[in-house]
Amino acid sequence: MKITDLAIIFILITVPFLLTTKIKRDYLHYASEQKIIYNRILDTAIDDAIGVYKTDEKINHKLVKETFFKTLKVNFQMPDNELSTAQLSKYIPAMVSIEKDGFTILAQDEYINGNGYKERRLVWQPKVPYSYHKGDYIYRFYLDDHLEIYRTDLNRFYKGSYQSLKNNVALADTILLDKKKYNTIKNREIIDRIQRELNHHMNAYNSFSKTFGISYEFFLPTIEKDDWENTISDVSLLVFFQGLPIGSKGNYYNNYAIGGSRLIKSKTYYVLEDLVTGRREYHDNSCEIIQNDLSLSFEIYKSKFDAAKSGAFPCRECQQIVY
Amino acid sequence: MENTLSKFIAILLVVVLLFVFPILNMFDNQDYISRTIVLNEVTHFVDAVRNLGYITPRMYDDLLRKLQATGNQYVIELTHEHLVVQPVYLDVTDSSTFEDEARNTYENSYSSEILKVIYSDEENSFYYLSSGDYFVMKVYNEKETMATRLKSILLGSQLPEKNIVVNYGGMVKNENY
Repeated sequence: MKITDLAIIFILITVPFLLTTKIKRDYLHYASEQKIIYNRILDTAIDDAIGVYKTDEKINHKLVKETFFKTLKVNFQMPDNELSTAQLSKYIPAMVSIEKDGFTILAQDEYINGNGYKERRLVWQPKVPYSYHKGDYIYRFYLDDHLEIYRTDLNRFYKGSYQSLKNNVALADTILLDKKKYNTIKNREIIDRIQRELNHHMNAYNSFSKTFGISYEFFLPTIEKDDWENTISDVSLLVFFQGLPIGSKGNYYNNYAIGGSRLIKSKTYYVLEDLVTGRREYHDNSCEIIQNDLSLSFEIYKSKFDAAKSGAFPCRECQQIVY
Repeated sequence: MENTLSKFIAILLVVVLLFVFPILNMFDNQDYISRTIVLNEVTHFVDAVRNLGYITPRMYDDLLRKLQATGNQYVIELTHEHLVVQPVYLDVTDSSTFEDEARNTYENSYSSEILKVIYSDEENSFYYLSSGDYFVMKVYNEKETMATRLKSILLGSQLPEKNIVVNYGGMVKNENY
């Protein structure tokens, strides 16, 4: 056998191995690329959803959910309808809105809808307060310095900031004594509370997800302690996105995203009624119609939505309606 | 005879292994890098628009120049979904039919309309968006890349043209004007 023949045999033996490793590598490559893109999408979506939170308003949970899904749909190139929301919500076992006085979880739940049919979809669960029970005392924590204590043996209620309650004689043997210890207990209890609820909802979701063909096992990922502490330091939103297949078989996208609130004050909108036609329209404060209006007979609303809910149409000028 | 056959196969393998595969690999890598660049530039641009609430001709020119540097030609699709909150009436002309509800609706403008505003002859030709609107951008390569072309020759089949596809969008946060 000549050297060329040997070379050919060598190549014939090695090429299959090289090709298989290359294909595997390409899949991994693709998966990692996809992961970067999905991370960005998730971050944007959670950021947009938290943007709905306004400092001087009650949180509109419906709008938070809608905004989150709208951004996801826009990025996954899906049409903006209920069906796409249902499609996407398969991969979202839970979402937590952490608020000043408690947290609410958005999770799959079964209920009977307006037509009398059973339906299952993402529903905001009742708000859970940050409570803690020890000895004769039941505590209710808030994210800020605020605190409520109920003393079971005396049947009395104490309310106020940490500083004001600390020097109260009736509360001498509570956890308030040592500020450091108090903060540790508070943080631990809040995190524990959220984790317990989340675990419950995720496990419940597992039994349900089998029915529509997702074989993925949903679970609560370990979240770094720092991440938790950041999350509960202020109003924020936490979402889990799991089970989306990427790359080759057995590769799933599994991540969570945290969004912290930005403090934005809501704008004001003015509703003015046309005296001749009776048509009500809402305007920005920069709108010329408002600035030229001398009668000052307008109603003020905090959002476009509230203004529209009072029956007002958007102004063609300041709301930039083209069609 | 046997001699020429083995030589022929050897030469064929040499050509494939020494030239075609390295070049293919190189083109693949180039596509990968281009994809990363396009992804970065598009997200940068879209985030800028979302934070500022407007598009200037300069911002758009910058984006084009950066995309051009990858050596491919791209199709850019811009979509601006303007949020309009409408009250729900069964009959708009009759105010007694108000349903006590409001609904978010979106009015879309696309590339041609947006670019017409940006590149109009007026002095301050900004395209303005309002907070709550959605701005989405889709970029994909116009012609097939070298990697796709080479692969189609080798495999003898038509491969999908769009190799570099980036789709990114989100809600406009601020009105910084």
